[in-house]
Amino acid sequence: MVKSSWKVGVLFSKTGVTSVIEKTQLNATLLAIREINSQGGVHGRRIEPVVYDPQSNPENFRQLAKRLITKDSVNIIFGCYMSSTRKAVLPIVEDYNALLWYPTLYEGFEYSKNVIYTGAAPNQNSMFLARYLLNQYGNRFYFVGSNYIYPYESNRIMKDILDSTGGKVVAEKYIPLDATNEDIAPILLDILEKRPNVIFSTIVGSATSKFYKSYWSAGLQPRQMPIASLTTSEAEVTAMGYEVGAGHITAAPYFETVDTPANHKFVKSYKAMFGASQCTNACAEAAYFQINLFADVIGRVGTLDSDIVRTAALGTIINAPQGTIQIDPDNNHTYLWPKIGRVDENCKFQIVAETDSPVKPDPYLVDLGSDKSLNRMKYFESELN
Amino acid sequence: MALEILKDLRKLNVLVVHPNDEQGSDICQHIERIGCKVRMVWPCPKHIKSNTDVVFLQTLQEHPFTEKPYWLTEEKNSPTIIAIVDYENPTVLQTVYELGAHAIINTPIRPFGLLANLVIARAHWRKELVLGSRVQKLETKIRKIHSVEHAIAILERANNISREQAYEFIRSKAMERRLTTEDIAQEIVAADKTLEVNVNKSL
Repeated sequence: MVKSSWKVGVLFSKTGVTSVIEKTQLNATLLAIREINSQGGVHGRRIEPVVYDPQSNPENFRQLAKRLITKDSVNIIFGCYMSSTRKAVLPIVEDYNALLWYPTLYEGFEYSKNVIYTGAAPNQNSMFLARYLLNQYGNRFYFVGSNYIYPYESNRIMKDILDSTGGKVVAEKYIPLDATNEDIAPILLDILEKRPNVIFSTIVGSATSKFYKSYWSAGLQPRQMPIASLTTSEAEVTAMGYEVGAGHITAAPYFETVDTPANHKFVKSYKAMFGASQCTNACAEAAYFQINLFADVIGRVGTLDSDIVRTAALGTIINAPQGTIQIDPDNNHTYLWPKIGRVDENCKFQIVAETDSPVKPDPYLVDLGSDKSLNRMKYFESELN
Repeated sequence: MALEILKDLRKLNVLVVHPNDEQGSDICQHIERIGCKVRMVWPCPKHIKSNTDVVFLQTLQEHPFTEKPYWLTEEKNSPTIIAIVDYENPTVLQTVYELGAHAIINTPIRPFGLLANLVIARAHWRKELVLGSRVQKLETKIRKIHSVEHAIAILERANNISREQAYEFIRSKAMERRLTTEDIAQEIVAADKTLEVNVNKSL
């Protein structure tokens, strides 16, 4: 007798402006599902992903989420990268009481009982990044971002952090999501003129590598004046190449270079399945561990019922590649391990600072200014110029 | 700037007047998530703690307020009121209107929108407070001007002196006794009334 499968929806873009990173999230999702299925599935039933390509477009995300729920009879969806796409899916999952698992860092200030957030909240990356940059490079920040909600809100949060820690914002510029070199050139001229200590970039998608490449072509030196980001991951760095990427900084709860047994296994399987040149990254790692977390939950409850799965997921602890993580029952976000990585000559992120324990997510930044978790940061600064 | 409002929210004592059910605890949980201190109570209490900053008030159409508690009618120190409504019919709207609610949230409660309503309600409440205290200051000021004017008129008439001389008299008395011109003016007005009453009685 063939047992029915655990049918779930998967919405990551294979095409469009953010497809480079979303494909890694799709890969990691499918890898985790394959690993679970190869070990007999959950309660002898395979996890069966229904995968659509929403093409980095919020309206497609909305329609495909609705289709997954109404046509494919799915109520568990793994997906979304850009906040605009999550916001498009949100009313759908709320209306149908489905459950979206969102494996991407974002700007916070959201809670829905129909979402499990497994990427970093701003207190788990922005705050650590600000502290690190102020310590290492100086207090004059130049903001540049893509023209949509995540960069606006991330910049506002960063500005608030800098205001209270003695930092200064010398400029705040936005470029289109599909920016060309003509959009970027005047910003580089302005950077040359203003000479900040650090560039805080919230550019996402394909414009990322264009910006870093132009920065490099203009002869700007990352060792003296790095571009710091929350979204420039291994995927984007691979796309731009090491000579362009070396020296730049990213804050994330995971880098491919994390030294844990769980990560060695994850990286090895990922490269075996998708090619030796393919890299994992924080968004892919969250996409990977959230499938394992989901499997752990349905293993315990034996059902896909949204309310039962959510209730069981809250508080769940699993061993992820980045370390032990837990879904916070207070807010559906995840306890994660903030880290600072700097790209080295081998196109890898060297971890230059990290926390010694997972940090509680604070999506509404309730503790901003009084947060003690910053003091748990350890620095590895031996190799800085 | 935006964060200043949010920081302010973090210090707020919030009272949720709502039956102790799932929806009530959902509201409380989300208010806590936003960062406020929260308590729930039902039914609507006669007294509330004086440090209560915001009240979320469930308005049930089957229990309209027969007698409004004092803390809803007081002009001073009244909290920010956010009405929770489950109907949009005229009865409920009338109740909400009479409550002087600063914002409305509707059921079923969704976390999305609660923070936005809290922020805008606090902004309206603060504006009311500022305007209220400005009106009070202006009223006091007008009363004072009025009493000085009145005193000047009395002095002019009683002593057959000019307006300038009358004012100068009030001012010099105020200097001499280290009081305000308004204080002196009030004394003159009071004295004039006393004399008037005595004169009338004795006639």
